[in-house]
Amino acid sequence: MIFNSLAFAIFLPIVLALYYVLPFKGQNRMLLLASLFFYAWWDWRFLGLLALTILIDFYASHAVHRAKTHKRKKQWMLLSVITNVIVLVIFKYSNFFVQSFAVGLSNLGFVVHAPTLALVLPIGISFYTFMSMAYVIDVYRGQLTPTPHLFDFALFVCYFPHLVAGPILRAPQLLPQLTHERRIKLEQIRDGISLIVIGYVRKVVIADIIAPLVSEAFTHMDTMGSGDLILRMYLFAIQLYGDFAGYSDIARGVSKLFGIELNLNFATPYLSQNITEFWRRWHISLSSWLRDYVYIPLGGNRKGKSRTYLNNFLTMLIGGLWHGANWTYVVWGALNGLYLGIHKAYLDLSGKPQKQSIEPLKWTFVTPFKIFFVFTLAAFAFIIFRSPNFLSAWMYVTKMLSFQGGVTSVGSSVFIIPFVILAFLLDVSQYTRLGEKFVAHAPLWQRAIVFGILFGLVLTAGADNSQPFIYYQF
Amino acid sequence: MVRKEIVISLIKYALLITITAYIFIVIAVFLIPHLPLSNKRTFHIMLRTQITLDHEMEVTENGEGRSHLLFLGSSVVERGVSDTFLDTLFNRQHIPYYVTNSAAGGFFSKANLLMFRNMLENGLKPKRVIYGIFLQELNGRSIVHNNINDTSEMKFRKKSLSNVLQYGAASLTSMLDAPNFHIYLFAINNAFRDIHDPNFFQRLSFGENMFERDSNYILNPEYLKDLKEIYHLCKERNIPFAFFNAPIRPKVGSIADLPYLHRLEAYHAVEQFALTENIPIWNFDKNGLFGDDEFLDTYHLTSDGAHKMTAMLANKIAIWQNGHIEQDITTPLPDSGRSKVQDSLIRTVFDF
Repeated sequence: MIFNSLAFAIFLPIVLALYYVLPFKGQNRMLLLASLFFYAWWDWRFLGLLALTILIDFYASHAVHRAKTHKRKKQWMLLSVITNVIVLVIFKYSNFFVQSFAVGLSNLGFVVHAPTLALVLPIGISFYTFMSMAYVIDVYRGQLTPTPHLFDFALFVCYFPHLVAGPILRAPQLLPQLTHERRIKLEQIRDGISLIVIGYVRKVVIADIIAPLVSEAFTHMDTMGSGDLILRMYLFAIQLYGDFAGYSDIARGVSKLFGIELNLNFATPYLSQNITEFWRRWHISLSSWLRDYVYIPLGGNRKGKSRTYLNNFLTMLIGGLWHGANWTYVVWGALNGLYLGIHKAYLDLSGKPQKQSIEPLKWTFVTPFKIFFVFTLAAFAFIIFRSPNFLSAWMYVTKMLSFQGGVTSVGSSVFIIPFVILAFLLDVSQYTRLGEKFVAHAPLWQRAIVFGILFGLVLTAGADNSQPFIYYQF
Repeated sequence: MVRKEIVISLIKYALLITITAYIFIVIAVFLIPHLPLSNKRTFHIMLRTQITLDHEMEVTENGEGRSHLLFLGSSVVERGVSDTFLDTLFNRQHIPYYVTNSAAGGFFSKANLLMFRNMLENGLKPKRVIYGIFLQELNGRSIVHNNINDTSEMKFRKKSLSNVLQYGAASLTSMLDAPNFHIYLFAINNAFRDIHDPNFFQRLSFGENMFERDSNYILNPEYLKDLKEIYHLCKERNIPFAFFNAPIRPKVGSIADLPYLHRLEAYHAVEQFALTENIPIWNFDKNGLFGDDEFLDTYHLTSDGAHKMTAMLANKIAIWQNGHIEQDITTPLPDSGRSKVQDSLIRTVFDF
C-alpha cells in the first residue's frame, strides 16, 4: 500500500478509529495487525520473510543478552548480522553479484553463462533489516535490554508508517514509546495533520509534477541541449528530495496521530553550506545508522588520518550499495565519499574545526553561493543515482558538459518555476522554523485556510496522477 | 482509549482542511476561464468544446441576433483561421455571422467528431460548419491521438456544483501538467493566429510548433469515416457544411519537413466525397497563393499568413452564404484533382 493511494486513504481512518477506541494492549495488537495488512497489500507472500527476520533477531537478541561470555554474545550477534546480510544478498544483490562476476570473467577472456534468480525485491527490505539488525547490535553493545515481548519487537520492526521507506529507527527511541501507554497530546494531532499535508505537497505537488520533465531528460537526452540537461539535473535533485522527504513527513505525521514520534529524516539539506553538513541533513536516519554501525566499527577517526579518509569513503560506498543492486549506486556512493574526503582535507589543511551538529551555520554574504555550490555537487551526483546504467550517466554528463544547445524546452521549464518556488518556500519555512511557529500559534481558521489550500493543491495534483515513491524500490 | 477531545480535535481539523480544500477547488474551477470538467487525457478535446459552448452562450445572452459559424479541423485551422478577424470582416460586409474556431491542434477527424458530437448534445446550434482539412488529416497517426481509445466514453459535463465537487480536482490537474497547461494557454490566447509577433514570454508560454515527422503514412479509411460522420451530423440537422484545403509552405527547410507522401490519396478521397455529396471545397494549396515568409513551419501559417487565408475564406463564405456551392476544381473528374495536388507535391519536393 502506498501513502498516495485510495487504499491508504481508506485504511488510515479505519486504523485510527480502531486505535482510538481500544485499550493500550489492544492498540498495540491492532497496530501490528494493521502493519502486516499494510505490507501484505503489496504482496502477502513476503510476510514470511518479514516474520523470519523478526523471529531470528528477537531470539538472537535474547541469546546475546543471556550469554555469559563475551565470545558467546559475539557469536549470537554475528549470527543475526550474517542472517540479515544473507537475506539482503539473496533478495537484493544476488543477481547483481553474479552478473558482475560473470562480466569480470568475460573481460578476462572466459565465456560464462551466469544463472540469475527471478526474485522479486521485497519492498522495504533494506529498511527493516537494518532496523532489526541494529537492535541486536545495540543489545550486544549493552546499550539496550531486549524487550521480553515478541509482539512488541514485531511492532517495532513493522510499524507501518516507517516500514517500507523509513526513517530507519533505533530501538531506544521507538521501543519505549511502544511498550508504555501513550497519551496523545493535542499538539501531536495538530502537528501530525500539518505534517501529512506538507508531506503530500512535497510528494504529489512538487515531486510528481517535476517527474515527467526529468524522465524526458533521461530518455531523450539526445534531443536536448546542455541547458536543458543542466536544468533537469537540478530538477531531479528537487524531485528526489520532494519524493523522499515527502514520504518521511507523511510517515512522521501519521505516526503522531498514534501518539508515536518518529525521527526527523531531512533537515533542509539543500540549504547546507558544505557537503559534510549536507550529509548530516540528508536521509539522517541512514547517515547516522551508517556512522554508528559501519564507520565507527571500521575505526572511525580513531586510527589516524589516512584511515579516517578510507573509513569515510568505505562507509559512503556501502551507503551507495544499500540503495540498490547497481553499479550506479556504488559510483554515486563513491563520488560522495570523494566529496567528503576533499572537504575533510580542506578542513584539515586550513585548520578549521568540523561542526558536529546540524544547527544552522552562520550566514554571510557568500552563504548563498556556498549553498548553490553544495546543491550543484549533490545534484551532479544524483545524475548517476537516477541513470539506469553507467553508460547512460556518462552520456548525460558528457552531453551536459559539452555546453552545446541551450534550453530548448523553455515552455515546460517556465511552467515548473512555481513548483520550484513552492519547494524552496517549504524548506525556508522549515529552516527558519516559521512553519513550526505558525502551526503552533496561529488560530485554527488561519491554519485551516493555509493547509486547506495546500491540501486542495494535493487533491488537484494527485487526482489524475499518482506515482510510486522512489525509495520504495530500496 | 484516547480522550474524547483528541478525537474531536482530529476530526475538526481534518474536516476544516478538507472543506477549505474543496472550496479552493470549486472557486478555482469557476474562476479559470473555459476550464472543462475533464481528465488529463480528454482535456484537449473538452477544452475546445467548453470554449465553443461558452462563446455561443455569451453571444446568445448578448442578444446580437447573429448566427454561429463553426470551424473544425486540425492545427492548420487552429492556427490558420482568425475568428476575430473574420468577425470584423463579416461585420463590415453585414454578413450576420459570428465565428468560433474550434479546431484542436494535434487532433484529426476522430477527435473533431467527438468534440462536435459533444457540442451538439449540449445544445450548440451552428448555422454553418466549415471543416479545414489538411492532407495528413486522414492518416490518423498522432501521439495525442493514441490516447483516444473509446470515444463513446467521453462525455462533456456541465459545471454544476455536484459535478465540480466530483470532477473539479481532476479537471484542475490539467493546469498542473506542462503539456496541457501549454495547450490551455495556447487555446485561450489564440496563438499564433491572432498574435502578430509573439514576444519572448508568449513564445515561452505557447511553445514552438510540434508536428509529426513522418512522410509515409497511408490513408486510414477509419478517419475518412469519422470525417463523413461529421458531415452526416450536419446533414441530419440541415447545417450547411463546407471543406477547405490548407496550404503548405512552398519551400521545405529540411528533409524532416517533407510533406506526407500519401497526401495525394487523402486529398483525392476527400475531393471525391465532396463531389458526391455536393459539398463546397475550397483549395488554398495553390502555387503562388502564399509565400515562404507566411509560414511558421512547413504546415502552420504565421499570424500574417492566417489573416491572409482568413480574408480569402471570408470571400468564399460570402459567396457560399448567397447559396452558391463553389467547388474549387476545374472539372469534376477525379483525375484533374489528382494532377492539381500532384503539382503541389512536385513543387514542394522540387524546391527542396
